[in-house]
Amino acid sequence: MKKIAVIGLACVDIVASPVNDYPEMGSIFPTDSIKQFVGGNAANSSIDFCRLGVGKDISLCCHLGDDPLGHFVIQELKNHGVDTQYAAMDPSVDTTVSIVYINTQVNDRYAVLCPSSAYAFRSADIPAQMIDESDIVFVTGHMMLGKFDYECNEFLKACQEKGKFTVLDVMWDLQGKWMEKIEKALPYIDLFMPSYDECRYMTGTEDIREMLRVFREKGSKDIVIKWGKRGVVIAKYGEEPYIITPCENVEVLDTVGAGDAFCTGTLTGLAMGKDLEEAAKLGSAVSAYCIQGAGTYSGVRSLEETVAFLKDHPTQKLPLE
Amino acid sequence: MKKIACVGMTAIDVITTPVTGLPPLNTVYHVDKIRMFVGGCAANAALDLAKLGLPARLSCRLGDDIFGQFVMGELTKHGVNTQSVTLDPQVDSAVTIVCLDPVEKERRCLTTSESNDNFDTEDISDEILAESDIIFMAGMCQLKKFDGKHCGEFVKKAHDLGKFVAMDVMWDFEGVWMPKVADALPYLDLFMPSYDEVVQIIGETEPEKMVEKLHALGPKNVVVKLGKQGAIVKEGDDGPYYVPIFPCDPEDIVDVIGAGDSSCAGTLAGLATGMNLHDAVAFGQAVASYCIRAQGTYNGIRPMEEILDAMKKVK
Repeated sequence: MKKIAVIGLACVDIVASPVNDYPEMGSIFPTDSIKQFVGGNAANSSIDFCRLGVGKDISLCCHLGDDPLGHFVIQELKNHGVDTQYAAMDPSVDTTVSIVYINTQVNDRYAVLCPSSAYAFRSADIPAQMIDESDIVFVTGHMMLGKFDYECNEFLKACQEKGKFTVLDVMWDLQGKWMEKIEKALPYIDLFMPSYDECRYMTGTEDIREMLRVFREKGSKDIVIKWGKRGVVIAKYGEEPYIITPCENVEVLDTVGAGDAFCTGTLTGLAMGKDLEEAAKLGSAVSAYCIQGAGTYSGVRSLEETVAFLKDHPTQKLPLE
Repeated sequence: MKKIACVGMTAIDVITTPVTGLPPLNTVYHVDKIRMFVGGCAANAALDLAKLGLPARLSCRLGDDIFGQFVMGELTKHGVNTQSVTLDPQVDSAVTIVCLDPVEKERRCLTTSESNDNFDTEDISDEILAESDIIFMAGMCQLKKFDGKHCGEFVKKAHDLGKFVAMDVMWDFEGVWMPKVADALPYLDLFMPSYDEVVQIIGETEPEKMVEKLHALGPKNVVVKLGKQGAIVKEGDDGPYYVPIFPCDPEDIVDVIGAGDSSCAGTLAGLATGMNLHDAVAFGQAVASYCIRAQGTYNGIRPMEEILDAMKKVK
């Protein structure tokens, strides 16, 4: 299997559930559980790869604070089998923390986030050795990576020149700049994997075809748009886009981390030599497992189990209207 | 100087600010600060005492998770004796997410309680009882297993050993109130609830009647905390008297979390260093005014001498 360098956001998620209303002023409102997890796209994906059983083929580069929360993240990553040698611990910043409130009535979530260490990420954090050892370079959590968001185009261009396959997923842009942060990088991303809501903000439109047109105009190649309950839109460069629906008959516990799980599964498929359509089906199955578990990674299971699950809970290929 | 043990409720406060509302669904909302602090009455009081300069012991139960480990780190850093702190891998630590509104300077909280639900008599070491003169039962009414019968038995035991036993209560989410405290009341030297809690416990709304009625249930001395109105004290059989708050510039108020706990800690610190009850309660009010000048429940507290000096200057 090809080797993957996972680069980007790692943080602590404090997940509170259920939170269906805003507590009254001055009140203390009981909830069922408040638990800490490792969070952040790059960390989630890395743990997902390990839970699939392909952890030895990935490495992780991220920027944490040198504090108890940062140490917790490193320890959890290690416990899951992630290679953390390229994870930087920076005493001048706090580890990024995100508090995620799960609304169980509508099965969705809100989050508040304090960026800190995430915004301190730099190209210089990424060792050349890590890139040289990899075949696929996966930047994930873009929009939340400080200056690196703007340096990303140069970084990805250099990776492509070294013959690497570049993949990128975005996070929520707290600063609201969106396209400004990413447009220079788009021509150097072989596979762009944003979510529908993020695309709305990047392109200013709600129409998928229009979104694809805007991205292509800026130089994008292959694009996969993650569309939540509707599945994913696969738009290979030069081909007609289509939809892969989610796996059927899945009971949702919580959707946190579903996107990262999808990316992980898709990249695993590509690294194993599958074409994009087959890889995306595998991604859908990983995502389906993810949403059956609490938190971002606890639902994800081994590759064998996931392949079997996909057989029993198939996806459908539909035209894009 | 007498030695003080704080027993009961401990939690982790995750303070987020500025937060003026829940973010819209499926979005991420930026906050300037997300910080963890130790919380819960017993731990707050123990840390307040440590910052005042009095060594204190803490007895409580936490989960063996990042929150529990954080508390242990903070307690150790501040010199609180943790010999009777249990880290239980079978439970999640009690966590409160505090949404701090900087405009209103008020808070909204989301909370879990598994570790406190499981706190019980077995968590209180013999050593803590033997080594302490003053036992402060803190956070009663939110300790599912310990409240009521077990609390009453323990308080009686401490009383019979000649300890000075003080008690504070927390909001009872189960709405039971009196049966949770009734067994302990006859053996208390000092009962220090807040006004809102007393309304629930005995259904009385007038402060002077409150302290008389509570005193009649057993505690030798009663202090009812009245928030911005200070406190009302029933000392033995004497008539009740008021103790005002210690003045603080409204501009200096950062957050009011833990003010009540710190006034209890200050009162006990006063008693431990030989003050009479009136002066101890006044000192407690001064400590509370320092508490609210910084974020978290204990960061504003200064050494005892410094606060006493400030009190002299005001007079």
